[in-house]
Amino acid sequence: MLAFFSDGFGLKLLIALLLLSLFGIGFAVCRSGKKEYLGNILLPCGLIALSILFFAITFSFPEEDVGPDAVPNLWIFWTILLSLVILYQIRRGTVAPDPELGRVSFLIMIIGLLVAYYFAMQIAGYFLSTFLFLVLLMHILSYRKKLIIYLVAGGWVVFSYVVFYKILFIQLPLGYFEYFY
Amino acid sequence: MGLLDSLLMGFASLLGWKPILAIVVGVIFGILAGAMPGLSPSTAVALLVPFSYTMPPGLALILLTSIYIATNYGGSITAVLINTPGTPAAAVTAFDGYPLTLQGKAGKGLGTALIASTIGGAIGVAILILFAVPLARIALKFSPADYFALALFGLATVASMGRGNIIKALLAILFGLLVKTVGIDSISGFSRFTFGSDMLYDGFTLIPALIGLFAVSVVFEKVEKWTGLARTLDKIDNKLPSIKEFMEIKGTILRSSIIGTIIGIFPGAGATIASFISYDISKRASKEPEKFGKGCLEGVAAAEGANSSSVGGALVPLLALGIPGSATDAVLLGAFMLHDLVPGPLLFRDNPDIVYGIFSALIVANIFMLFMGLYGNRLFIKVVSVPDGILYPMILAIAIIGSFAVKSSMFDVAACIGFGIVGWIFKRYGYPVAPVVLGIVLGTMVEDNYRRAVMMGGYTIFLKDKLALIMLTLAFLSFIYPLLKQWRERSKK
Repeated sequence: MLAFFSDGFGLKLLIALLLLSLFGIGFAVCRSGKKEYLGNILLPCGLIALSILFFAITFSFPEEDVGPDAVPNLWIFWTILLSLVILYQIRRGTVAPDPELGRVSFLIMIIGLLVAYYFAMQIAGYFLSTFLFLVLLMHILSYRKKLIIYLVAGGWVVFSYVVFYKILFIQLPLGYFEYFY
Repeated sequence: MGLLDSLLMGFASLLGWKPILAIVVGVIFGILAGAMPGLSPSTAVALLVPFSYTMPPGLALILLTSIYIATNYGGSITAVLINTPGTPAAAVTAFDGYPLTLQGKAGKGLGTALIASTIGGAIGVAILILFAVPLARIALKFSPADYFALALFGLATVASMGRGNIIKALLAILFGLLVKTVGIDSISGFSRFTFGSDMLYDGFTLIPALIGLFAVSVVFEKVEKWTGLARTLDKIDNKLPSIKEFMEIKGTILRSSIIGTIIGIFPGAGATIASFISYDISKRASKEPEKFGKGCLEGVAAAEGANSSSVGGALVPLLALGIPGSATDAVLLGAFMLHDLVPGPLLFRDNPDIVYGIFSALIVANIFMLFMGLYGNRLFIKVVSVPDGILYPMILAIAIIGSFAVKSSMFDVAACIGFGIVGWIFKRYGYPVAPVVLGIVLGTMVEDNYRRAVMMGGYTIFLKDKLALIMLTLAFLSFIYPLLKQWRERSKK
């Protein structure tokens, strides 16, 4: 039966089921008396889910004595076992509760900016997108001396161009501006 | 010709402005390249191989080996100052180096790294000069079972990283080991866990994962706690360790240098493994192990001593037998062949001037690196005074270009960001990230040698091979002892 989940539609179904399970566990924990351990519970559950996913995929591997599935299964076994130990420790109350949440929404915005930078590099090229990324991020992080911001961002772009692109011949992405270089 | 006469001949070949210039350029380039995440020692050496083509062979190899020895020190600079290891081996230096910077003692961190690197490098070269040929012969007798046991012993160092909860450290290492299984299996050629994506055929590259886990995750941590107020750091102390502090760590430097040289001799076991093992052994041997990971000079010394001395060790199989002991050695082998030289026993007989010229250059390069570092540290430390609003965006910019530079791959950039998020989550809930790196570094060595050993001799090979059995027993005890200690402490409470 597990071989069904090793590839194709079965694999996608398994991923969906595992994500739903994690969501369900998170919802259940929030409604229970262990709400302050939400992160501590979800992390080992996430590792168990990842292990189950990898284990299912190993059913598509060729069967050999010490084949490609031998060592991954060993790591999967120990990951599941030790994750269960952590969950048991949480149940017994020997694990500290989750730390206080900081400015998570601010962090998500910064990560979003980083992801946008990643995509912008491929469209606008490394140099322009890096300049804009640095200027924007320094401004968001409350640095207000505009001249220094532009000097630092511009200086880094020039340094990258000279050292990485010209001297080291690292083909930095140029995006649609390729013909200008 | 005796050893002393050969060494004097080697030093005589350095007399002249060209060899000295080659050493100066090599050391400066090596330090800068080592400090830059994304440029590994092998890349740094490879970059100058074409420039060395028109040089006489002796001069070219002096330049390239000077770069090699300097990059390992260079990696510690960014590791200590901004928790962004310039080389994988410098990740261990960051464990105690960065906390020292946060305590305003960046000078001590950099100074300890410099001194340990110099002494470690010198000891590594000394062992290379005295024992190159016999040591190489011993190293090549290691079977896959022995390599597997050595790698497992390396994994056992995770026990020293799990402050408070060893189970979380073990889970972190297992995560790293699982991540390392993604990609094409090197024994069967079968692609594993690639989800049909050709970007995952090569698996996850070490350097983007390292930069993400160490540097990007720190930026995310700081952003989560962002107050917008200027960081108030006490005056940054750029003082070197005092004589008293040096005397306290001299034993650690000596021990880690020997460990690093020995581990560096084994092909495939490089500076990173040497650093982790040395750190673990030094922590266990220390009178104050609880200080490790919190800004302990011994921790920095243990990592850097092993890191730098492994260069001498790695050159042993290359020069004595023509077998590269590391990726950088493979590049150096290419450089030898470019100059019509064949490393091995015949090189010692036919070109002793080249061999002993290299040995002498390594000694002089170490001394020059010391002076460069002493002067340069005063400049490097200024990085710490940079406002957070500039420092963290620059760390991200360096991380992105460093990740891209490895294979000119945008996938590596995405992996770096992904590992940064993973690192932030792990650290938030008390899971150390260093074991993840250890798992990624050692994963292939553990798996490939385990499977080869079993294919060659069955599962009982690990009991029949005495050396493997001893190392496996030590590894098992290293895993079990902290667990038992933790359990006993909890029972007492």
